[in-house]
Amino acid sequence: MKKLRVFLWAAAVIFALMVVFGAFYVVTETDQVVLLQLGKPVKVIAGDRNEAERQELQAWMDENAPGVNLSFGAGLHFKIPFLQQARFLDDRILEYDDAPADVVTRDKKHIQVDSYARWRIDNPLLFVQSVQTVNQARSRLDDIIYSAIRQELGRNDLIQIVRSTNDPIGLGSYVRLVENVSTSEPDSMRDVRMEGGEVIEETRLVYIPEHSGRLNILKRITEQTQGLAEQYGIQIIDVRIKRADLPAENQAAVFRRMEAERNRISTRYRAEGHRMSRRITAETDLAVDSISARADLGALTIRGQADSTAAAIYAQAYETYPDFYRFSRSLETLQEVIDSTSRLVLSTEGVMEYLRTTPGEVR
Amino acid sequence: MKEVSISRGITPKAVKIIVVAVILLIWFLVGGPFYTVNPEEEGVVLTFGRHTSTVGPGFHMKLPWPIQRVYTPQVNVVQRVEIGFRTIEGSDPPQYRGFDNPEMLSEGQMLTGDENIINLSAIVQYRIKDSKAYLFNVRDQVSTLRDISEASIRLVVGDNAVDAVLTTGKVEVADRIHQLVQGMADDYGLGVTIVAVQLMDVQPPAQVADAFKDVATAREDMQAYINEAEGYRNELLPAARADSITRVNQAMGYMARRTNRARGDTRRFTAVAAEYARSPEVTATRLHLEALAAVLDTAEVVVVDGDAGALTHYSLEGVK
Repeated sequence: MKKLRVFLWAAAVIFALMVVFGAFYVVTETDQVVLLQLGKPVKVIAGDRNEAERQELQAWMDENAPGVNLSFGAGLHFKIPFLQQARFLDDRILEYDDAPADVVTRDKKHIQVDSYARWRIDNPLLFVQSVQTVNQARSRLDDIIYSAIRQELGRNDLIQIVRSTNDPIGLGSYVRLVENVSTSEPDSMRDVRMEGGEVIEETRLVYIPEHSGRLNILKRITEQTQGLAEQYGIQIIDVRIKRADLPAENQAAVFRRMEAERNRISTRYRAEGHRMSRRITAETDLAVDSISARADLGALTIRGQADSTAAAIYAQAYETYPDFYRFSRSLETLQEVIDSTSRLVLSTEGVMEYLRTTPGEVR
Repeated sequence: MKEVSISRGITPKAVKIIVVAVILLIWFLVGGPFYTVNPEEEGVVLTFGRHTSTVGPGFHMKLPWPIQRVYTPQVNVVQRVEIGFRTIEGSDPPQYRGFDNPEMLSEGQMLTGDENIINLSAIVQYRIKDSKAYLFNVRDQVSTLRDISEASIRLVVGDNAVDAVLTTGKVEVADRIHQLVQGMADDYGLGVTIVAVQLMDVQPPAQVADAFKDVATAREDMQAYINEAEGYRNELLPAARADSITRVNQAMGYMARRTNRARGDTRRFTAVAAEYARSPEVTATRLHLEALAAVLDTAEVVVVDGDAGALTHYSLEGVK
């Protein structure tokens, strides 16, 4: 008997606790709740949100679920134990991470796209009615997002998916190389073909149309998926491409191209170096030649002047004594012409005659 | 009987008290009215699930669970998300898993705007600026931040040329990523401030690394060629100038020599001529004989008999 009494007491306490705990539930800042009474929604406690969103949700509730009570925000709430059941939903932004998918672009290139989306439960009642759990919601999102991405990316070229603006991206080393040179040498600008202030040569700059580019593509995907997710009470905040990479087999081709491109740049650098080097050498040779020529000109002018001055000096002196000049000059010439290698053949008479006749006579 | 022996000295009432005390103690420690907020933290207090107050560091009291709960996020600590590499936890000095790891490689390898491929690793540093937003707006905050960061990095790199990312544009690229990550984080209401985005390793993939290195070598080669030529110029030009000055100076020297020589010659001539004018005959004879003497002295002289004619002659060589 005593045992039975203890058992009854214990049962009563447990029951009382169940009633108390079953009657109250705490909705935290991260929760939303749909209260079901025997499986039928009677009350919705949505997360905190701004006035416009509140009114929008209220309007939807009025139209689609009249009689279901709607309130907002966290707090302590009451329910009828056993009869009513609180279905907790997350009020936070939730993640959706897609498995990487192989996508073919409009220019028939394969890319591995790894995308993600951020979403939240916008309409708790609709969510509970249509998908029940977060896991189920994910599989719905799979369908929606996967096809939207495939479809949209398939309408664009690879480069439009990779790039997001038309900002000039420069030509890398090649342009800088030429720019560097051009600062000191205006001539080398000819090495770059420019049109309207933009470098044309070797750019492979692709024009991204106004509506294209990664940001625009993502915006469109987001809008499209938003429309489709609405029916599940889900608001997709954005869809983004985390990675869009070439599959391994296509990478090899890119690497080959990159290598060729680099080699071209290397070659250009070296050629540019040779060109500059030759130019400097040639300029140097020219400068040396012209300096030398100027020096020759100067030196010869001075020498000429020297000669003419000397001639004038001689002339002035000789003009005063022309006869004596002729005489002394002939003697000098005689001495200059006949040296130790000369052989004089004289007749005996000739010598005597010469010695005899000369005195005093100037010839 | 056994039960009695175990609880000897302890009455059933005491057991009840102890049990209640232990339960109270656990309740006190886990959900009880006292809690401390560390200096780097902020206490976010929820009353029945609703955010009611945020308190600073220190010792605080609250109503016990389940009435009040406290979260203590570390708001003053700069935390980081690593992209393209991971610090191996607990390693000291820090060790990293880098691009040699296939997972890291696929995280850090990406397409550039000119359809090249580069490897890039980066750090995104962030701090919680709004603890309430951080706690309640987004689930999986860190992985969200990672996703945002990866998406932003690829967005920016995809819009730049490989060379810009590798060299000159690094700062700009990091700035742009910083802005984008912050913007997206704000869009989600993540409640964080992005403190910095740092690009760590930015390098061409191993397959093409040599070609990239060769570009650097080529650039140095170019400079070397230019330097060589400039060396040539620097050597030759001064030499040429010096040579030019020498030649002009030599000419000046010639001028001095020539004119002075002329003056000297003419002075001597005038002096002798004056002598000659005074006594022409004697002077002329003297000069004539002196000249003959000099000539006959230097030259080899062959004297031929006048009658024998010019055809026969004797060499006086050796006789003389």
